[in-house]
Amino acid sequence: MIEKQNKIMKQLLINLKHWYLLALVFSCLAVTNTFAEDQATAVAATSTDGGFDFNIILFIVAVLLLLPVYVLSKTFILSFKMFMSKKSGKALKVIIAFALIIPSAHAEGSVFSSISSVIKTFDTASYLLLTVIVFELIVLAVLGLRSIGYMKGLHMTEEELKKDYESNSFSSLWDKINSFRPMEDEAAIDTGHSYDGIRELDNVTPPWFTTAFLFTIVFAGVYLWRYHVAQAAPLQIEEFNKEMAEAKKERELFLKDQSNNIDESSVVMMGQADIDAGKELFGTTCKPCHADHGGSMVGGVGPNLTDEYWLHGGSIVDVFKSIKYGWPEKGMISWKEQYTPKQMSQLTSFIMSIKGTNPPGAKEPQGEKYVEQSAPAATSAPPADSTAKK
Amino acid sequence: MQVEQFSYDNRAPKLFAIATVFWGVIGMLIGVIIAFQLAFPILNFSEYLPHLAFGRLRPVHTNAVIFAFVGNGIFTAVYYSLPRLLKTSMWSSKLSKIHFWGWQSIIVLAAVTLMFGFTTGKEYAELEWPIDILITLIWVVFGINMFGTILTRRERHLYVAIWFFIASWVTVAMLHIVNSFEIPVSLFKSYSWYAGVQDALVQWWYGHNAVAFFLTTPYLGLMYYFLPKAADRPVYSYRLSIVHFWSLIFLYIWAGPHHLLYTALPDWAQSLGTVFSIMLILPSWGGMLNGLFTLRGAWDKVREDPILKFFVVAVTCYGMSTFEGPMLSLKNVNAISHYSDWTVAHVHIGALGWNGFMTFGMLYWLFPRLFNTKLYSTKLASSHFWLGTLGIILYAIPMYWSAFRSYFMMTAFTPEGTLEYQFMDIVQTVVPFYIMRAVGGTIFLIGVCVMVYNLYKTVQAGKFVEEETAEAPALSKEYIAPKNSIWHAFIERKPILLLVLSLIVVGIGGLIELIPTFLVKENIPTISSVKPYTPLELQGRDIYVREGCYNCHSQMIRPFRYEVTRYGEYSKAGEFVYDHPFQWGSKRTGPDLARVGGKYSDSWHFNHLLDPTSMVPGSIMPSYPNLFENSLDISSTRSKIHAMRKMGVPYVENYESTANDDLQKQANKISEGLSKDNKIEIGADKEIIAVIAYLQRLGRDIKLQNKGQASN
Repeated sequence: MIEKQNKIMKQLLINLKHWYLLALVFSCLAVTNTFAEDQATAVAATSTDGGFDFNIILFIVAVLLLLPVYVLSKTFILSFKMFMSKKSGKALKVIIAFALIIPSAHAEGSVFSSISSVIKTFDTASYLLLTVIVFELIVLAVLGLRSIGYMKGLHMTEEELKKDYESNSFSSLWDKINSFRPMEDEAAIDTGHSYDGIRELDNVTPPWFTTAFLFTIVFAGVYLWRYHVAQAAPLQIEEFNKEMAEAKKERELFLKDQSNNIDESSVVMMGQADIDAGKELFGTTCKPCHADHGGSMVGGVGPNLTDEYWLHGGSIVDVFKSIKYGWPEKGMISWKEQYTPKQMSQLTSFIMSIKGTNPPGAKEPQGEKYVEQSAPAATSAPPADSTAKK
Repeated sequence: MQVEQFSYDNRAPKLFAIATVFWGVIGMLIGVIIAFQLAFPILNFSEYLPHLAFGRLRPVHTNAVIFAFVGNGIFTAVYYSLPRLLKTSMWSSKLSKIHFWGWQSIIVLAAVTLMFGFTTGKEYAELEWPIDILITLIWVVFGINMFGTILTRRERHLYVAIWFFIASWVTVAMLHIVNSFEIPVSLFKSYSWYAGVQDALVQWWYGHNAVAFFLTTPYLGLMYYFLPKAADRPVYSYRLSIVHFWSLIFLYIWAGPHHLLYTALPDWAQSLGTVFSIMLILPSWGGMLNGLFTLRGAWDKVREDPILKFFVVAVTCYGMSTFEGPMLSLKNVNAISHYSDWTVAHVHIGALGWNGFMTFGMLYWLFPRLFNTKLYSTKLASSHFWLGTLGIILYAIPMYWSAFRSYFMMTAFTPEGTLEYQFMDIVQTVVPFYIMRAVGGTIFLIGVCVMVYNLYKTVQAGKFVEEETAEAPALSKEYIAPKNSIWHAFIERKPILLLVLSLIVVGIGGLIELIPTFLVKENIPTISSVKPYTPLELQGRDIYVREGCYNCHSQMIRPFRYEVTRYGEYSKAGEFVYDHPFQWGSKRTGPDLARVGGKYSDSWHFNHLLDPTSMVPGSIMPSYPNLFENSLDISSTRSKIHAMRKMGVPYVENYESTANDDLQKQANKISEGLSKDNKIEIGADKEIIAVIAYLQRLGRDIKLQNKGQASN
């Protein structure tokens, strides 16, 4: 008995090592990921300010947790050994050690609860670190419960131990829900089959299995009935139309009292801060076709935006409209689903601001020369004015 | 009764076992390579060789691990267990040899042709028609050998493992033949017989059941032999075996449409896919329970024996993924998981955990017995177990995370109603996850290498046992069943009846789903503005298929606000009627292309395909310089148009003879346009021109219709 237990113990210790290894690997990954993330966000131009600091806290928590895990595992080993040798003298020490751990584990718990408040700043690394922490807490719980179990067993006789196992709610419940028969009765349910030495028992299918199977069949019937006979649940197109209508309503409500409700009838030149914002946007999505200075390049995809010649009109309204609706047949895509009206207006302002900058390597002029008109609400490029030509 | 002497031939299982290990390493190595390619596009090496780009290697990976690694694993199990379970020798050792070398040559042919771009463009069925025929022939050889053995058996009743082998054999035959209906246009090019929605339905009826009847049921057979053997415990429940065998094969076949939820597939077919997937949970779990409960009373052995450890984790992974699968078939969950890394994680839990670990356990059990020795090192096997487990965890978790993060980014709207993130933001966010996943895969592969070393040392220490002699009495002609035997025992005595019943049971679901989709017109409402592809576009489409673009790009916009806003109007069934094969895809590593036509200029596509990062900074797409060097092969236009018309695509009579004139006209126009607007000089005869033509056509037809309606 003792020998067997010792063997199990050994195995458990090996497993413990693996747990440590796993936790360490995850922590390392989380740290490397934090840096990878930093680079990625730089490209993606999405800000995760504060995410890094938060990750450091998580990382420290994860590392700190390794300590109680270590201490508790020692306790666990000790309690197990004592359980085996039944030297009750040391039991007190174990209990003292154990008592020390509980509050510290508790403290970690409170840190854990405060995490939820900052959940919005989560990035990959945070999730990874959180897994490590949750994982460590599970290990803590398992080790703790086990140690308590062994310490309880210290004062029991063999007989009591067996009884204790039988009354253990989990094992007996497990046996019951699966309708397990005691191992000793196995001969009674042997089918007598032997295929290349493989015998077959004739255990009943677990009752929960049969019930659950019937339940899934009923589910199937109800599902089909609801969707296709009673038509009580929306099919995909109906669902889609509803979603779109709701989105439209929400959007209208939002735009009603919003100052940034800008469209082609209200777009005007914005201030320097917005021009800079527009420049930044331009550098990410417009750059590939128009170059970052807006002048495109020889053989470039898009036209030069810094000269006086325009394919689709050069007024602020025209430019705004070109961005908003695009010129699909020419390859200029519509940005209205990707940029907010304010962002499109910032872009427009930036483009208006670079007129005449004449950057090096710019593309040759395309389209017609545009001359500013005094009328503010020009909707399209005016016809070429002969008087403007020199 | 007279006792007869016979012997078990170990040569076939040995060959298959070695092939399993060999292809396992190759297949997983390619998997690791393509995993790194997604994070570091430079590894595509497409500047030097088009053969190694992700789009071509990914099918090599999937085909290698499914049909080479798992396939040979199945055959190892069958050739070892079948004679022993039936107390007879394999029917013909000559057929065993033909089967072995035939299958290996199929694998080699598959790998080479796929890398050269010969593909049908249908996932897991990419191989071109001559190889399809070869597969059919070899499969028949396997069947004859299997049934020859069964019919000359000395054991009256068939053990549950053999039920699974029989059902798998007949179903795979049915799936392969129906899905491979294609019309050849040349030695290595064919078009799927089906188009659009119908092609999608047939393909996923096949694809889903390739998982079911190639990766699952034969492996359940394998489990039923090797697990009780290794644990030395009786199988837990004979009754459960009967219940879960029949319910599993009956229900599995229906579940295919769950791969097409929220697509243009008719709603009724989608719903069938959902409910049958849900009903599949318990029949699948029946296998897991019978496996795990068989270990009752042997758990102390599990702690020490790495073989049993592998089996336990394998069966548990099976249980997890067969629960996850039905959950992914629920519409609201599928909305998140479809096209995402979640699906990738899901299949790898099954592939690495269930198939991988089951195979490893079998190999560790088998090699010492084939070579009459002990396993070289239990410790190394144990290390392999832990490396493998760690590998699976590190593979799966990053993929789940990446799926959820990209879903939340994909669906995020600003209050103004615009998309909050560009597609590229999302790609950049998931790249770190791709790296982690590749690391996980590498660790798993290292574990496999440890196994290779361990098995090699075992082989060296032992001596191969070519034949094992055995004896058993022959079956008597007359048999009177004992009074207490149950009805099912009757079927177990009649292998042909079992075969026929299996075919009927798996046939029902397929027929009920496929036939109405083909015959009932309302299922695919016609759209009058949808016209056949021009010859140049058709050629471009074939290049799109050749380069495996469908491995990363879908052509199916689902009816969700965030998809419609990002990609355009949702896809309609009627838009795909001339798509042989359909190209809906199953994973969006890149954006959907269903309506990319007209979105960008020709020069944008030109620059993008030459160097994707020039137009989309941070893109992880490989470059395709070969399209700019290769001249389009227009000699095939004639037979392609001809084949298309044969399948009902309405090209005018005799269009074959003038098709190339139209092709040249369209190509010249594109080439001239590039030269005039963008100073790009490229010959009209280059492949890139055809690809641009095809991309610019995508989704255009329905836009025309909308314009027409607006003007009316």
